[in-house]
Amino acid sequence: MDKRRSAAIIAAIALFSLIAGYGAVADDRGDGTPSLEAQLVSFATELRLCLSLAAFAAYSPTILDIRLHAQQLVNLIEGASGEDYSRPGGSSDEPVGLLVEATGWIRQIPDRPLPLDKKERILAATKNVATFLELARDEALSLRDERRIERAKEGMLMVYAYLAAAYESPCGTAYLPGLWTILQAFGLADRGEEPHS
Amino acid sequence: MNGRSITPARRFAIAAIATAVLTGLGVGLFVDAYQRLLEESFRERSTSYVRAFSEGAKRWIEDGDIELLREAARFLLVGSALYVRVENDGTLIVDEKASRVDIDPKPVGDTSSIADASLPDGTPYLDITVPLVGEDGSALGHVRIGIDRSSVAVAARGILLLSAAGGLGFDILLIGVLGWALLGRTREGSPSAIVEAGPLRIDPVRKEVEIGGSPVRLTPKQFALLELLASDPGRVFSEEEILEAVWPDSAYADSKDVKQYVYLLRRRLEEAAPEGKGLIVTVAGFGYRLADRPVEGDLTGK
Repeated sequence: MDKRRSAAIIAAIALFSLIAGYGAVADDRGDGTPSLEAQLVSFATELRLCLSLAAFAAYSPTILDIRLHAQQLVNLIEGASGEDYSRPGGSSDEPVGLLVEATGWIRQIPDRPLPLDKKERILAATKNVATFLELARDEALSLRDERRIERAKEGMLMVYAYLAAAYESPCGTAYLPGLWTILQAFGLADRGEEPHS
Repeated sequence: MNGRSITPARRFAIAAIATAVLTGLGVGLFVDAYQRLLEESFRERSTSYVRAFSEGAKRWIEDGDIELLREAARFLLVGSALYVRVENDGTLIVDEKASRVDIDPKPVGDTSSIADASLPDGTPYLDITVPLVGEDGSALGHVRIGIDRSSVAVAARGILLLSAAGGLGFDILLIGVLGWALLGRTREGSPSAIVEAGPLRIDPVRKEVEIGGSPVRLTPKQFALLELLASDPGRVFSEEEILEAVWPDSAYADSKDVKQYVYLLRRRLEEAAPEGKGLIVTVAGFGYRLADRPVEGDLTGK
């Protein structure tokens, strides 16, 4: 009786483990978060939104508009958990933050089953993306207190340039790999949009 | 010298009024020019803002990413944008409004336009429409954004107040300098304080009188009488006026004193120089005056 009971328990545990393991594979990471590929596509969309926001923010009619758009960009880059996050409105969602996501990949990518040279290239590109995002965030932060509209416009164009560099602008000469390289490496280039094509 | 010199106080008053008028005019012209510049610049920026948004809108429409376009539109509403409407192929695909806005703009065509309008509460805004043109030149629709103009009015009011304050400060400073130059120096006995009437030269600070270059020694009452007559040469001063000016505190002085002092003053002037003769004219029935032109003879024959 005891032996049969023990066998039943072991069988139940084995079955549970099997189901749980299958679930984990199906859910990619097993903790309910989207796969890295899904994150990349969503990231590319958010980054394009930031680029557009910086583009029309540079032409804002008043200095107050530029300041508000600068805060919106800080929110999108840092996310709701960022120390500079402030909710001025404009979007009902609380953003995860592009920087949070990019730094998350830097931790995730070494564990991915990828060829070493590809992994290193993706990691280098991800670090570039994070650096350009930090630069864009810092510039946007400095614009929140700017008083001169012409200076604010220049600053916003600088934010745009950093974001564009994070997205990556492939050209004939040497350039720094960014998001576009990562999307290509994962076969997702068609899910993003080639910048400045 | 015709003897009718403008007193320093009058000169100061004229200069002060002229300064105030000129400063007011200058401030008015400056504020008007600045307001025009502000308004022009705001219109230019607003149009560029809408055009920049329409560039993104065009890409999103072509990619079919309407949700992203709506999200971008919502980002605009935190600032000056009152509403964002995007029409594509005759369909309104984005219709976002700021919470304080409760209007439904009249339909417009796909042509570029900029119009002045105001909300029911009086808030002025610019209604800007920019057409959306596809890569192949085909008309996709238009982007229409309402931009709040009240910030321009606030800025203009600020400039007006600042300019008015600046103008007032400038006025006070300039009038102060003028006052010092015209009145302060007078007290120091500068030439501007000296009264000259014909051959007569009176220095009220030094209490000195000269006629034809010769000094005349006068008592305080005689000096006060001469100073009064010289203050407005040609004008007839009545005995009452003379009594009030020369004997302000005396209840006992009367017309006899006036006559006596006129007589004594005439004598002192005549003794000092021949030009002193006939300098004080008696106008029968009215009073006395200082001759404001060369004297040919006393009206009374005295």
